[in-house]
Formats: sequence, structure tokens, C-alpha cells
Amino acid sequence: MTKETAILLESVSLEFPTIKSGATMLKELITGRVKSSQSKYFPALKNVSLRITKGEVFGVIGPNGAGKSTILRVMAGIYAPDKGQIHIKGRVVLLAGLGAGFQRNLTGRENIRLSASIYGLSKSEISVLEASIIGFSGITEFIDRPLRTYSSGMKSRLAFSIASHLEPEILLIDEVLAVGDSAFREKSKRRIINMVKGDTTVVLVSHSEATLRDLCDRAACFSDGLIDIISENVDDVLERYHELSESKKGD
Amino acid sequence: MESGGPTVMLEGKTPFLLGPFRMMKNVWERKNLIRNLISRDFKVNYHGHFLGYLWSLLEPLALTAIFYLVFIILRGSTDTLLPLRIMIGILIFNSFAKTLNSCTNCLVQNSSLIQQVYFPREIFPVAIGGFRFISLCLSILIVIPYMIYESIAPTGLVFLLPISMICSVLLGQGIGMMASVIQVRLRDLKQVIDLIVRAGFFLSGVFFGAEIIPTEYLELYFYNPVAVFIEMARAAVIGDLGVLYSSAMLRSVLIAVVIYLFGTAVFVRYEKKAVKFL
Repeated sequence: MTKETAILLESVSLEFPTIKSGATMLKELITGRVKSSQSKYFPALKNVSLRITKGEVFGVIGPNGAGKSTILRVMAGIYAPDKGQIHIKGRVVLLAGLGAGFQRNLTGRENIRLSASIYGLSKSEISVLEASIIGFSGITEFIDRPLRTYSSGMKSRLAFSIASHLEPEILLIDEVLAVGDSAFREKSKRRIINMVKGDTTVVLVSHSEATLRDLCDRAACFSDGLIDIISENVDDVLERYHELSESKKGD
Repeated sequence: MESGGPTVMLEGKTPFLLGPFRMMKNVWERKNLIRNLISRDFKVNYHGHFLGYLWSLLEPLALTAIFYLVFIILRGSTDTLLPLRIMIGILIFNSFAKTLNSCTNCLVQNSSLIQQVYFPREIFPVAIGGFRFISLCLSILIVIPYMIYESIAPTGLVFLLPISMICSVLLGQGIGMMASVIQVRLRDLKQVIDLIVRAGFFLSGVFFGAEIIPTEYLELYFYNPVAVFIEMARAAVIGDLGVLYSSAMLRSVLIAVVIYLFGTAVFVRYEKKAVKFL
């Protein structure tokens, strides 16, 4: 029996506009000459097809600017593809930089409510989870003080605690595994491993080879907006990644 | 897809004319987020202020005093209702202008959030409109003591007040939504809109009543919906239509609703493209 598909990308292409300065635009308008070296668009993803099954942990690695973060954002719905189609089954949460919507002048509790509602939780869901979020973050006596009085470690602990309570069916992680002091880092690592071991589908972008090797069922190496290699043998993918980085250095 | 169950299709364009319906559906599904965003705006706007919400009353009051003094010095006005007219003019015009400004900026302002989490971006202008409308409701209360002082009894015309308040916010939101998708590409637009709003302040009768407009220009003057909304609010409070006539009111309400719906359709259609410029 084939497994259920959680994420399906069908020849997805995405281009970003290159933003020209007003002076350049004026010059081109007056002289009527467009510099051909400066293309109007920068291709970030070129015809990428990918199928990720339910419960799979999929690792993504690649050099900077290869399209790793872009593909996560496409899966999360932030960017609509220019060509191709995406099918996503289930609630998606993208963890990319923690603390979405945090306001320094609101209290910790108010920020929990705001941030969780940004991630799509309803009022009743939030009131159920609130105590657990506060408990996990370990910020009990500061929770009704404004966020600006928090240390940066406390802020990330609160943010991670919110993120880890969202319980999505599909979790997209963009290198946010290490926050807080060492004790909290242990705790958060266990939490992520629990999510990964459960039936959550995970797409993990990371430069940490140990993380990818330990957690992933399958991995892909991206290069210039294309999937260079995709394999269930994560070591092969990492090897290919090293080759690519070496050849980039040689340029 | 080989299995059943709900599938979320991220691709797929909403037909242009169905934009407003998509927005309504999304807004309903995320009403908790909108509530939280509005309450955030209130808390953040008045954070660290000793007088807090009272500022939404004090600001129009102080502006009214300034304009009234200028008018007494310039014209020696004896109209005892002039301060009330000015106050209403400022409140209605400000809620239009502030809604327009914030909506124009909503995508640029929230760029880091937009790149971090996906939720329907229509939420931003809707939350701004909601915040501005509630602020207006709170600050319009300031006319009540004035009405008591001048012993003005509310008349049947009072129903024009909510219409004028809603339409001034809708109009600002509608134009702002169209402007916001252009603003991401052409940041100059904000400056252009600022200038137009400043000119509009003088052209919309904020500190004078429509009765001083020469009759031959009155019809032209009433083609400005903001001017009509200000006159409507004045008529509702004072209980006298003055030179205002119903076809101008009907036209202005229609303009506001059409621009709002069109702005929504434009926003829903182009926001996906626009966020790539952030």
C-alpha cells in the first residue's frame, strides 16, 4: 500500500523580481536602453517536483541562495508559485525565526495570545494551551510583564514554547533548533524529536549534518533552485553537498 | 493525490469579482486574530501614555480650539455651532485619512511577519479598518456634552451619523487596499498619498460648512465623498440638513461601497504578487 501524500509539488517554478532603483528606471526610460545583464527576474526555484509522504521527515541542505528557504515558504503558502501546482494536506506551520508578531510593549501573556492567533489557533484552543505554554517556557513570574523587560533568552524560550505547542500536521523548520541556555536547549531538542518521531510530517532545512543524519528519513540537496540529489541515504546527499561547496569555493 | 480527505490547494486564483467573498470568508475564519490585532493596536498606540484613551478625545478637542481661534481672529465668526462643526469635520476626516494611510502601508509595515507566517493578508486592512472605526466611535462621544450644553435634541436625522462614520472608514480602506499592492513596488506612492490627503483636508470642508460654498459650485463640491460624509455627520448631530441633498448622499455612499469592493478585489488578486517585492 502506498503511503498518503502530505506535500506534493508539481513542477513548481518561482521567480523573484529584481528591484531596480528609481535612478536606473528613469535612465532606462529616457535612453530606452535596458541593460541586458540585469534581468528583470531572478529564478529562485526552477521546475521543482517533490512528493513527501505523511509522517516522513525530510531534510533539505544546500549552499546559500539555493532556494531552501524559498521552498519552505512556498509550502507554507507565503509565496504562490509562478508555474506548477502545490497540494498540501493538513495544517502547516512554518518555524522560521521565532516570535512571529511579538510586540515589545505587550506582556508575555498578551504576546502568547497574539502570536498563537497569528499561527491560526482559535480563542478556545489558546485558552486550553496557555498554561502549558507558560509552564514549558519556564517564565512564570515574568509572564504579566511587558516583553521589553525580558532577556533575549527568555524571549526565545517563550517563542519556542508557543511554536512547539501548535501541533500541526505538517511542520516546516528553517534552522531554529537551538535557543536558550543549555538546559532549555536539551528540553527543546527532546520536544522536537518527539514531534519528529510522531506522525507529524516534517521538512527540515538545516546546515547541521548531525541533525539531518539523526532525524531524517530522506534528504535532498538543493543547488541553484534545482534538486541536485534526492535520496533515502542521507550520507550520499551530504557527500554531494560537500562536493558542491568545494566546487563553489573553487570558482 | 491517491487518498481522500480534505486537500488544501495553495495554488489557484480567485476570480476577480469573487475577491470580496473570499475576504469575507477568510475574515470570518480568523476573527480571533482580527480581535487580537485590534486590541494590540489599542494597547500599543496608547502604551506609556498617562492619559491613554483620553487622547482620542483630547486630540480633536485641541485641534478644534486651534481652528476656532484662527477663525475668530480672521473672520470674527459669531456662529456658536462652529466649534461643533469643526470637531465633527476633524473626526470624520481623520478617520478617513488615518485608515487610508495605515492601509497603504499595511504590507510594507508587516513585511517581516508576512515572510514568517502565512495567513490571509486581507486580515491586515480589515483589522486596521476595525481599529479606526472603534476609535471613531469612542471619540465621537465627545459631541454629546456639547449637544447638552447647546441644548440640541437628537432628531430623526441621527441615523445619518453611523452611515457617515462607516462610509468614511470604508472609503479609506478601499483606496488604501489598492494603494498597498502598488506601494510595495513603488514606495513613492506613500508620499503622493500624503500630499493628496493634505490637500483633501482643505477641500473637504473640515473647518467650514458647505453653506459657504457658492451655489454654482455646490454640486461639484459634493462630488467629493469625504466632504459629503462630513456634512452628513454634521446634519445628523445638529438636526438640520442645510444645503445637503439626498442624491449627493446616495451617490457618496455608493462611491464608498463600490471603491471598497473594488479595492478588496484588487487586493485579493494582487497581494500574492506584491509580497514578492517585500
